[in-house]
Amino acid sequence: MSMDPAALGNVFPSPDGAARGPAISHRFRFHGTGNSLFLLILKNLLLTMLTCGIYAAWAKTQQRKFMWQNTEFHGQRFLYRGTGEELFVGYIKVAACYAVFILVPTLIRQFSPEAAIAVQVVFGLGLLFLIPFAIYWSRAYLLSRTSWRGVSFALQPGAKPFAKVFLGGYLLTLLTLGVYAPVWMNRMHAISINRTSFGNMPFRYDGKDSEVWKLTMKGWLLSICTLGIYYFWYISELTRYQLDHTYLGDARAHSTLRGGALFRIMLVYIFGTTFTLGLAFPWIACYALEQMFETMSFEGDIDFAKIGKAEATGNAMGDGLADAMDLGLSL
Amino acid sequence: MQWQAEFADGQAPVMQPVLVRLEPGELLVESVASGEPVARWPLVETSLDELQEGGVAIVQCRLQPLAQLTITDPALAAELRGRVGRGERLPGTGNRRRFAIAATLAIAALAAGIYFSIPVLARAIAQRVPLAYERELGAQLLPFFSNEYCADSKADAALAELERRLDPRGEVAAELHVWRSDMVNAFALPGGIVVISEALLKEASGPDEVAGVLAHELEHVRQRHVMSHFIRATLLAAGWSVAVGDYAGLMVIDPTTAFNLVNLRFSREEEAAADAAAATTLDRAGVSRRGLHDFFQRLREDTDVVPAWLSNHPSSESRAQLLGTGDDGPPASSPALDAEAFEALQRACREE
Repeated sequence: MSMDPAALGNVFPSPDGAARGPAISHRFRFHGTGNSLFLLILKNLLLTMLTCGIYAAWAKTQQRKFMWQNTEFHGQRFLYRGTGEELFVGYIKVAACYAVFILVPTLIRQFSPEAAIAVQVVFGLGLLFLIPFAIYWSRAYLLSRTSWRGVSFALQPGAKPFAKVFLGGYLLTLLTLGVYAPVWMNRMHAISINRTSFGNMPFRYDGKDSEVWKLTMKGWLLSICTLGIYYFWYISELTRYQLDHTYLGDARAHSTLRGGALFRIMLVYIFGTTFTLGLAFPWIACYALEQMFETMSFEGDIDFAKIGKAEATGNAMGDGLADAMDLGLSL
Repeated sequence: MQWQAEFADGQAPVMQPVLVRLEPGELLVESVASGEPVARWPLVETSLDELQEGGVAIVQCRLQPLAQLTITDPALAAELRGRVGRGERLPGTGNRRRFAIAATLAIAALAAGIYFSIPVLARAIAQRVPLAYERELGAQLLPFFSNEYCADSKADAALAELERRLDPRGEVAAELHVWRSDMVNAFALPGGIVVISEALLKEASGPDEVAGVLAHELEHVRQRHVMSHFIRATLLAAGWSVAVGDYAGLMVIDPTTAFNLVNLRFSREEEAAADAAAATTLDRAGVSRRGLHDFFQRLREDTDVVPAWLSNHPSSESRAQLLGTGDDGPPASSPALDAEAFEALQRACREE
């Protein structure tokens, strides 16, 4: 499944199958170091404690800037344009919604405990339906605040198509006791990528449900048989598949990630954090990012001159909501 | 003087080589190819971002938010630093080691402050929480035990007599129950509910032992220890979330474990306080301390296998030592209960 350009003599098939001349390889690189990240985390922790948590929004923004702006693609760094102020306002809005979520049933309970229970059930279901919106809005915010060479990424507005795929797939996964899960994940990945653009040039993902399903079923079964060890080989194979089926214009993403490398990263993470009680996290994070980005590239021509700017969408409330619901998107 | 840099106007992802000059109050950016200015940024509206490593800095202007100037010349960055409206640098750029030590000490000091202030705050808040609210909380926990309560009129009367002896003025107003359980245990629930297990009553060699245990639990109720425990746990959890923000996932030690260890220490302090106050209560009621002292001695074998710092109670040995030899208090006036009442109490859960 992997297509190593070196093995192909630097001739990389284009999306239409025809071989072209020597292709340009647009590579990623991570420059961040553990020393700097450690000091940044220390400073952020101190200021967050001193301000009783208020500084957390600025701390998160700084950490994202560190991660984004130490990531290089084709010789230029990404830029994170989000601000602590807008994130803080987003958090306040989410906190206000949460207060309503708690207070309304409490007030109703004074008059009718049964009605309060009904309201709580409705709110709970509403929260479940909110999950895909929170995921989508958070992604929209992060992409709109990420730019490269001055041009932002974007996510098409309107979370409903994603929410339909999410909720429908979730139900089918439950009904099929998990058998549908790989298809569900692939469809969510597909809709996310296909609605993402760099400037006004959209990304494209053409990974097939059937192929992902076979790959995942094999991965899960072998992981069970090997008590989890094969899981890293499964994840690396899935990553290679997903990236190899992602395009930006005529260029195609590519990954050379191997299970052994991922397993090594995980061992470093587990032993490193355990024996240092978490203190080594900054160095381990930078090491992991460096290793992962080394394996990624875009192969083929990208005519940057033809790319125009995108409309800025996304607001920080989506990010705050995803955080509050602990949807694991926090970067 | 002028420096080389790269400029992107934000309309297309193309970097063009430019020359940068510092004019009074503004930054002038000129295209190398055409020589024409491509940007003229007031310094007060400009920001310098040096969070990148590898000698790269990024300059942006609020008036042209999509454009960016990428500079790799440290001399230009040094010139701009301090002149632009806003700047961000990686911490410790002057002296990393000194910064790391200072920040670590400051964090440790703050953490110590939180550690020592939370129990004081929790106790102060607990004393001010209306008893009615605590009773409501206790009522929610009742169903876990009430199905296993033993109802026996003679046992209830014996318990009431014990309570009157230990709390003659009715200051504590606790609700006492015998719980059908094989565990030798007694505990206080929120709202003044005290539960004593059937096994403890059967294990007791005399009424003075039961009186000692009851005196201890009544002290928990009087001093609002249960409420204080809840508040302390909440403050610890909230304090952790607030203080650590997003970085909770960094720690390998599960925050819950950290909380439990901190909470355990103050639980032990509360247990010791309840033991000391119980000794005074027994003395005032004319009940011998020997009963409670012997109870702890007997418990020592079963309970003192866990290291003290992992236990929510002081070691049984230290608890027994707190009571002296057991005969240290004033002479007892009479046993806590007569033989008939004590026997009725021990038979509280026996089916007729």
